[in-house]
Amino acid sequence: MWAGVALEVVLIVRAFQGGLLRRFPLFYSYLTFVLLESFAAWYLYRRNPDLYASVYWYLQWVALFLGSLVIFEIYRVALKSYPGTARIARNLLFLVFALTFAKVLVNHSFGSVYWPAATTAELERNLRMVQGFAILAIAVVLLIYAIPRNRNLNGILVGYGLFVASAIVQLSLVSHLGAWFQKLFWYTQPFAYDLVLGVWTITLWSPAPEPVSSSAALNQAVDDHSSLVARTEQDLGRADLGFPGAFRR
Amino acid sequence: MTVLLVAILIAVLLGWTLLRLLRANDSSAERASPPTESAHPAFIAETVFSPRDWLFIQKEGSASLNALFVHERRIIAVAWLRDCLDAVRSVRANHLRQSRHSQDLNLPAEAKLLLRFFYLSALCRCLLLVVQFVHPAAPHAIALYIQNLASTVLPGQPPELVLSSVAVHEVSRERLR
Repeated sequence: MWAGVALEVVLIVRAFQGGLLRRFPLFYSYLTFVLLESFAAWYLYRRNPDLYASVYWYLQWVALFLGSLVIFEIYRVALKSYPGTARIARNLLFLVFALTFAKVLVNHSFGSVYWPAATTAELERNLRMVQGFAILAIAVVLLIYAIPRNRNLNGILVGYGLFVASAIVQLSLVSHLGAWFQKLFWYTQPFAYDLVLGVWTITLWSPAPEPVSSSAALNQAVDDHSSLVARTEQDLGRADLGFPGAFRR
Repeated sequence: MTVLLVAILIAVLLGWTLLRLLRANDSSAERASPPTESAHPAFIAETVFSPRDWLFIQKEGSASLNALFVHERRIIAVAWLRDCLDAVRSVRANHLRQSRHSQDLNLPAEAKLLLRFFYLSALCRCLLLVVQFVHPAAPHAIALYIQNLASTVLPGQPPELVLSSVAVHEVSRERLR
């Protein structure tokens, strides 16, 4: 735990020094919350272990909510100069949340609870899955459209994504294997988080320059999308119809 | 058990995408250039995949000649297909480079184009496998199907071919015969 706390303090101090706090306010709010949460949980655990068990999950929900804001910040920072790609990402995120909402609604219509989960661990796993899909949507869009990213943004995205991926696996194992993995979980979860903190410490040690898109792309007046599609279809038509042209007898 | 498997699948997919994101760079999209056209594309393409030459060679009844023909034809076919794949990649990179700045991006049109890029790339890769592991003339039947398909999808488009490979330019009709 203390290694994680030390890394969090280092990250926040470096952000103050380098001005990263202004660039990623939501991410550092999340980090500050986790740091304060660690102290609060430690204090409670020593003073009142019974209370700690119930408070732990409430703190986890707040951390989960702030984590979702980190995903929103990744989307905002990465795509602020790319309105076309931002639109695609928005629609994909909307799809993810619409599907989640539809699932909740279907469960409710069949008389079940909004989101069937026998334990709080299952509920957190389900919510982490939604987060996972949201990160996946943003990552796929960034990959397809080759959006330039600097080291800091890459670090936040990859670090938080890997943290969510490991949380999904660990919480699923907790639900599936039960009590014996629960004990292991108290060690594996902080270990995974410390690794992510390591990734963040390396990538957020100093502010990286903002990525600059090619001057040609920026200076080029982007036509309306329909004419761009028509031009691409024309280009593609030549490449595409090479196949049938090649096999004409 | 199913939920556990789904969870692991999501986690693996997420991890794999993020690692790909780390390895990817912007250079490929920025370097993209418009595709160029070859001087004699129709002739090269027709010759490469036509079963006519293969039937002619078979009539000679020479095993070594057959092997030599298949070997050479395979090299040319692979070069031609790689050129097609490069052309599709180049068009895709150019399109994405511009559309990401577009203010009025039309989602259905964009999705349709992306699907078409994917389809064409997959097709080229499949044909590459067929040419490399089956026979250089084997894609002919597949191509006839594609021809019908393409003429339904894009009626009235000129059947030009995009080629830029130096290797293809070096091939003469005499050598193939």
